[in-house]
Amino acid sequence: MPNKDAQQECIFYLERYGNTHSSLSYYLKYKMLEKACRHVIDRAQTHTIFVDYIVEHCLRLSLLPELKQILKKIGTHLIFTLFGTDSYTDPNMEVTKPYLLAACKYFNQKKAFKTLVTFQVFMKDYVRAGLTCIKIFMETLDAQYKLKCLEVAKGYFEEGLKLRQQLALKGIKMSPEVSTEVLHESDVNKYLNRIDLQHELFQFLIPRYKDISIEGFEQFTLFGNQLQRQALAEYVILHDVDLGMDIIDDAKLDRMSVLTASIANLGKSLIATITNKADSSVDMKRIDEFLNALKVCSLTGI
Amino acid sequence: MFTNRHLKGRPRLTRVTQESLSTSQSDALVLELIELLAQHVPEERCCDKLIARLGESRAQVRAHMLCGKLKAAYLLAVKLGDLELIRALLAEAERVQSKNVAALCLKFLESRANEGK
Repeated sequence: MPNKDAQQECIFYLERYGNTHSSLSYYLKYKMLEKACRHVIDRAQTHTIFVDYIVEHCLRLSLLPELKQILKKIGTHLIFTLFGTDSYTDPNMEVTKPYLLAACKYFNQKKAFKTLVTFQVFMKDYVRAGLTCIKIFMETLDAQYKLKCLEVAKGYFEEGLKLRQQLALKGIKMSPEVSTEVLHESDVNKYLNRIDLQHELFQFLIPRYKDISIEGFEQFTLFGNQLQRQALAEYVILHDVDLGMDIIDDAKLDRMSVLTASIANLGKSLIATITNKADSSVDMKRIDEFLNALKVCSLTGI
Repeated sequence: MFTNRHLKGRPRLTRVTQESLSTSQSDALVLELIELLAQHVPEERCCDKLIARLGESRAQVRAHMLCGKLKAAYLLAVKLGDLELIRALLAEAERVQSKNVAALCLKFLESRANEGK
């Protein structure tokens, strides 16, 4: 580490004669993260430079919390200044936000979802944070952790809606460059409903996983593809018609196709019981119950 | 703590969606099951219970045919006076070589044809 005077001299010459690479390399080498950030932002350097030099450096050395604080200091965040003003006019936000978004894009590409969430929350971009939690939910195998992800995602979506309402009440409309609106309010509500349904589905499925012989069924979720949703609906509806119908509605599945497949599965189980080909214990009573449940749905208009 | 909007806010079995399960849809499901059972465990009597669940008489005729109960199918089809069903029954009777039922179907169709002249 050079002494203070030498360092000042270095910085002087770097700022006067150095290029971006030499300046950033020097600042980062000697732990002057704020100076590096200011160098990029003040000179309106490209987002790629910000990501390649600063974000990667911070990621490598676990300095992302410091980076967030520095960016907060440099650019007054939209949300912090927004309330109490009638319109968004903060020029600093316009400057820092694109860099933050570039960092988010980078984390997304790297599939560093947990880091991405912290940045999105930092930016108060709660809806995107909720969507990232869903991605983490999809990637994780542990059922309890999946439940936790749902809970956190739900919290973020709700926070996102709340924030939008607050902004709308104040008549504040963000400019397209800084707007973080990624989903329409109705879509956020759809996600919230799906999270609730997935949560309920988990409560229903977890004790039953050991009895289900479909390969990889534990990883089937309502956030998966249509085939997964169809398989979930076909299984669930045989045991809980209400929940099964909710899945059909949520995933916009063809009801008759789900019911036909389900009843065929039930029929096969009954045949296996009758012919003792398997240890299935489905009997006519079970089929009666299922048909009765469908009849109830029919009568009540589900 | 996770609060579920499904459980809290929306009563089940009372919401209305765009379409309800019609009698013909319900019958189609039961027929599917009857066909499966009739193919694999024809000797079982469980199909009788299922036939009783069918809402439409035409579906009942089809179900009797699936279970090989052609006489019962014939009686019901005659009661309905449905020539299309009788023709389908005749084809099935010929396929499984049920001469009695085939003769009954032919006789019925002829009498109807004569009535029409």
